Amino acid sequence: MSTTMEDAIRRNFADRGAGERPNSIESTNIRQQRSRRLPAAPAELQQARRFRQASVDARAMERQCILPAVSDVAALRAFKILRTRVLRRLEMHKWNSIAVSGMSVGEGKTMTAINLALALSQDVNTWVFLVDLDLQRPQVANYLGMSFEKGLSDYLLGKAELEDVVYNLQSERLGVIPNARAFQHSSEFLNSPRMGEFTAALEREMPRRIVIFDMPPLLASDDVLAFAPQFDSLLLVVSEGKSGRAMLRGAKEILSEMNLLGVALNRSKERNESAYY
Amino acid sequence: MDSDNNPEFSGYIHAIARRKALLFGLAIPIAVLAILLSVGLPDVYTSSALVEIDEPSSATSLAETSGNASYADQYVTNLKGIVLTDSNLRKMIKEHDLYPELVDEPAVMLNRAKRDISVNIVTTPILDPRTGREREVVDAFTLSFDHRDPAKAQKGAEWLVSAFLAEHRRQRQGRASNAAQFYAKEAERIRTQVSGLESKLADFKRANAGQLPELTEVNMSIMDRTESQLEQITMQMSSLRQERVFLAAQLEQSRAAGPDAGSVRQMEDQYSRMRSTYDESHPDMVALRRQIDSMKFGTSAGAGSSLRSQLNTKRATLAEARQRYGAEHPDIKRLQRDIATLETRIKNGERGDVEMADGTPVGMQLRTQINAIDSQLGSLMARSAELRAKINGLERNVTAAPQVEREYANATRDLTIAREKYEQLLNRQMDAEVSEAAIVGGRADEFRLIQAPMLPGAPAKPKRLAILLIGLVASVVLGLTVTVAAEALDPKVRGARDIRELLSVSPLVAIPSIRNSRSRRRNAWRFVTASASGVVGVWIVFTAIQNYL
Repeated sequence: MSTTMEDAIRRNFADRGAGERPNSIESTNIRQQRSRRLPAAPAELQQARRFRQASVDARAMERQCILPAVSDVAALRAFKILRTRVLRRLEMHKWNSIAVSGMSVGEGKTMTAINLALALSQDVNTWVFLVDLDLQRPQVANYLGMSFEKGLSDYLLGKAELEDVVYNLQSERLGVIPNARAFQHSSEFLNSPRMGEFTAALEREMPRRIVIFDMPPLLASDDVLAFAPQFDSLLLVVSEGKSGRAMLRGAKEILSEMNLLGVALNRSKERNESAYY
Repeated sequence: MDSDNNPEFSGYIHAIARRKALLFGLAIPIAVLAILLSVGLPDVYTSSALVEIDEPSSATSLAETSGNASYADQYVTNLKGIVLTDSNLRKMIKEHDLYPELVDEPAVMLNRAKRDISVNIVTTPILDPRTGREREVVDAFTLSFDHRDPAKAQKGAEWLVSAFLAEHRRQRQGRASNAAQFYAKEAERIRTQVSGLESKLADFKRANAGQLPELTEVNMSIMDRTESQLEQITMQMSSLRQERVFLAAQLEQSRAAGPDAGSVRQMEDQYSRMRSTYDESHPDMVALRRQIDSMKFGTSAGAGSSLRSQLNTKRATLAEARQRYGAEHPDIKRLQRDIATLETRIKNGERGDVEMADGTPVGMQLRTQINAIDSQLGSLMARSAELRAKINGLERNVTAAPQVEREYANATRDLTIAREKYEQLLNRQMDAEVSEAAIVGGRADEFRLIQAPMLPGAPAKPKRLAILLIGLVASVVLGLTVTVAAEALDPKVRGARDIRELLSVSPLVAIPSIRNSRSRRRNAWRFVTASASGVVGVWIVFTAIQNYL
């Protein structure tokens, strides 16, 4: 199953991404800049192999619209666009970590975070960590249908180290830190010393990896605000037909307190301008 | 493309794309319904009659309430309410077997009949001569009946026409009859009043005979004439008196020259003295008188002639005295006694010859002339007294005339008014009776059937093309309107434009709804459910409209 999925991912992303890279001078420049910043591939590969490999459930992924299991061309194209634009902005602002959040439950932030991580990991020069930081409702593992022994909660409780909770998912360029246990007082845990150690450990990987935090909704708790000092930028997921205008207006003030990487409009009925291709 | 360059237009396109389910969910059923209605509705035939409303004729106008034509529309509406009662409609339905399929549902049948009947007022614009503005005048109305069977449509319309005309005639006849009865009753009452006034006036005239104002002039004329006659009589009397005085003087002279003149004078002096003491009927007085007469005239025959002349003289004197004195005056009474004595003497045979027996022929002639003058004076005095009495009566009448005139005018005025009113009521009663007779005879109908109900050759309803076009247009318009309204009222974020407006940033990417097997199944299920609902809804509405029509 995992082999089939990996092939699908490679087919979906690597093949489609190959069409744009040689033709784009801008993307060549960015790649040159990144290659100057990022360490050489063999060393990273060696590091990446330290993490465990986790198996995923293709049916669960298909049910949750995780891209390798979905053959929706428009969705694949959209995440490729998102990947490229995110990479450009991260490079532009020298940012390495992204918190993915929405305004309320059910807007597709976890799906977006996972698909963005998968899309980024398909770029051979990009290494990604995906951290399930929605401590009250951890969903990343469920979305992927992955089974694991220890997760973020074990790390925060001191029962495991970073290497024990990071799982390579299909590709060695993508490390997933899942979570199985929900925390009632999540914001306290996010500000705990153990979380500080966790982020420090991740920062040590930062030059080589982009870290994506799957966060709870902005307006549902104070987790995002509490954790804001720990991430560089915020990707806001807005679901068309679900997110309220009033909520978005209310979230504007909160957003002004952090670096907004951008907005991903989910469940959109509009075509992307590049959809022609 | 223009839509790409124009954000507003592109917004609408995106809105429609987002809500295509709503748009098509509304538009398609409506369009299908319109097609079904335009194809599947049964033909309905309409038979119509045009009834003209005439102005009230002169024969009936007095008996009818005024302004009937001005409120013709209201009248027709009232008539409709009277004619189209449930019992009448049942009668019509039963008579023509209009709705055999609804025999078991009488209420539905009645509603259907009411719906199929239409009464419409026809107006004509005219230029109002008073205001100079154009206004609508009701001059006709149409009666229509709809039915799926053209023959039954015609039957229904014919029934409507006859029912309306009959009810109108019945109403007018009733009104005219009531009016006639009312006027007859009023006329009788006024007639009684007139009779009372007439008898009252007659009594008044009787009580004031000769004093009525119309006789004043006549009275004045008669009074003038009478006064003139009295004046002539007075002048004649004066002339006769002068002549008598003259003759008496001549007679005295002749007597003085005749035999026994001295003894006669003495005896006459004695007679005069005694008369102051005795009455003329006293025996001494009578004997002395006879002696004087015998000495004067030689025979007793001359005494009769003298007695008669004396009687006349006394009567004339009495008549003249009555003008001046009352009946109880002593002179009046004395003259009456003298007259009675003279009459008794003459009755007892103391009657002399007409021929004069004076001692001398001259004396006898003078005596005769004096007697004639006395006789004339007596009659003139009597006549004078009559005329004076007449003048007095006339003067009283003329004096009382103004007061009588006022009362007479009041009585006459009341009578005149009452008579005029009586005549008017009689006229109106006659008019009402004539009107009633004309209505009964059908010669005064205000409703005139201009166009009788015909057997319709082509169905009047439904307008299939119109239903189809209106339905298609309505489906598009309604669908778009609801879509735009839903978009405008939607509080949720829609499209990149909202993101730009609210956060002042463009979205990095627009991720479409990702289609997986579950979403495909869900969409398919939704489509099936919506289609089934649409089909059922359209069928229900179509059936309902079909039943309604």
